[in-house]
Amino acid sequence: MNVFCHFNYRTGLLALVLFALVDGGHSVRAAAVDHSHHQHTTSDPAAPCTAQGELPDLRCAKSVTAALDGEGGLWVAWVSGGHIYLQSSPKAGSELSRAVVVNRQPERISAGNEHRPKIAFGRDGRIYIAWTEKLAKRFSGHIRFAWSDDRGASFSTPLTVNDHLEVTSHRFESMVVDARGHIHLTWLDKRDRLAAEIRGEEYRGAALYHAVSTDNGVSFSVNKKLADNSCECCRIAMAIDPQSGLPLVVWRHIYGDNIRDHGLVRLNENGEWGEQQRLSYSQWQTSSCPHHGPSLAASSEAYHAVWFANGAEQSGLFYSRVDRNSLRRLDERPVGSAVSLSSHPSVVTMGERVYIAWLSYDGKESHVLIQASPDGGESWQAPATLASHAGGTDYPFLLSDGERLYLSWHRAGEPYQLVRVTK
Amino acid sequence: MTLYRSLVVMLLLSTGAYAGQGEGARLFTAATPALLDERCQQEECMVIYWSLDCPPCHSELKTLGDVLKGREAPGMVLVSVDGRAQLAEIGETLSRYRVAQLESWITPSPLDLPLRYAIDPKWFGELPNSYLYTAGSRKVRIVGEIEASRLQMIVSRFARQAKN
Repeated sequence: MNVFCHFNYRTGLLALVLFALVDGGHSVRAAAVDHSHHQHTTSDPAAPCTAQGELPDLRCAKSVTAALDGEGGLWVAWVSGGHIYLQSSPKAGSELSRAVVVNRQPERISAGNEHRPKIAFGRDGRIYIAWTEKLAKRFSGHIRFAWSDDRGASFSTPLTVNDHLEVTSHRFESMVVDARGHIHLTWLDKRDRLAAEIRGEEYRGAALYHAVSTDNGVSFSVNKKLADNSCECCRIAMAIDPQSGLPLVVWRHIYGDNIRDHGLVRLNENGEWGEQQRLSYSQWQTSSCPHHGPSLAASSEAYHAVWFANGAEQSGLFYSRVDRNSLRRLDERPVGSAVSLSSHPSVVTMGERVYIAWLSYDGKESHVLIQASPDGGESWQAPATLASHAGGTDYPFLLSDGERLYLSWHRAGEPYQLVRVTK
Repeated sequence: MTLYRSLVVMLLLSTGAYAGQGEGARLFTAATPALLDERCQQEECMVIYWSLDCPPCHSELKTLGDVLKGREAPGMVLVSVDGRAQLAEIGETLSRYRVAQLESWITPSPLDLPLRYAIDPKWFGELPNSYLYTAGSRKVRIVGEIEASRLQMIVSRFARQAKN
């Protein structure tokens, strides 16, 4: 199955224009939005997600996770019926393999919007999958992990990463692999809130926790708290600093009197986590659940974060550029338009080029827009529409193998869609 | 009240009500916001959008239940945005917080962008999200958990209105 999906002329043209703007010196002849089209096969193409007893189908997944390995291969994970399924293609855009079940024993797996399994890659073709297992009590869960050392043909028996096993929230995991091959997981954890409640004390939000595996996922470290009082229902963003090869984390935090801004923390070369830095100052005071976490990428000299706020002073998406040496904020600018409900951003870097994609809605169609910076976030091209769809969709995600840029965009009930943005 | 009753009957006929857990919950479609808007022009009301996946929503429902103590609350409308697949848990949650007696709606599937836009084109999806319709056709949006004192005030005002 070819996972590139059909695009109309207008959409394809915009992608070409974007490429021409960013990679101005290159020929646009080779820029590709593949116009080939292939439907994922099913016994009932007209209504793939309604029949009883049907086989699991990627189209019916609430959310899809896609990742590119170091050799340009595409990996796609999705959840159905208590299992995580993994498919791959050796070359992004070519036919996806038959789905492999990651967890042989079914679990209640969080999937949808801010929740989805994570994929990461280790050395020697190792593949790592992390997810949240939902427990019986609402808002409770365990962070789960499995590895494959045979390029995804089979997976290890899953293990639980959180070392606090009481029934409370250990959820919203994020995962990266550092330059040494160590696997870093962070998640939102309510063990301290539970303890405070037992003491009759108030604890606001959740906490940010971390664990690392230095043995290719066979075991994980004792859990370490990185921050108290995180927001409790927004995804966490992680990235690898290309200079140090070590992870950094951005998450929505609760500051002061219920101010929901973002914090940043990174692992230093001495092996210690640095002090928490405040990344955003929207001053959004709310007692709501935003369900709207940030995205993060790193280039050689700067960190790039895109985040959402909806306060009186700042409403919509915002891009922040942070100096990687001083952690000083260099720049902050709005992204997209609050009028078109710009939301759920994804940011990636390719060398000094920075790309941001986000979802918008005009009352009739959902659109994924993309904006590019050729110079590490100092200047930005005009936004361009990359794809459109009538109806609800999953969040958009940008993927890069370091040379090519893709958009992964799942629309429930539709074939999985991968858009090649640059050559 | 005649108009109100007519509208309720029309809504029930057009959307169907669910039996069992979540009994009485009606299906909330893209046409429902306009119907609620129209109805709330006639009498003060409050529409609260909530989700099982939202901790402050649970807190607010508990507070509302504590304020009501099992009483009816004309004008108070709850809309779950989790989708009908969650009907049993929605019904259990409403019962647990003692708000199952309130007018209740559910979206057909987890709230997506088109339906959210139909409700409010400025809504980014934060929850709980409430709309208070007051005299003079004012519609005020309240994002986040509403304090007990304010809920008490609103419920009392609606009760006085129902008596009149």
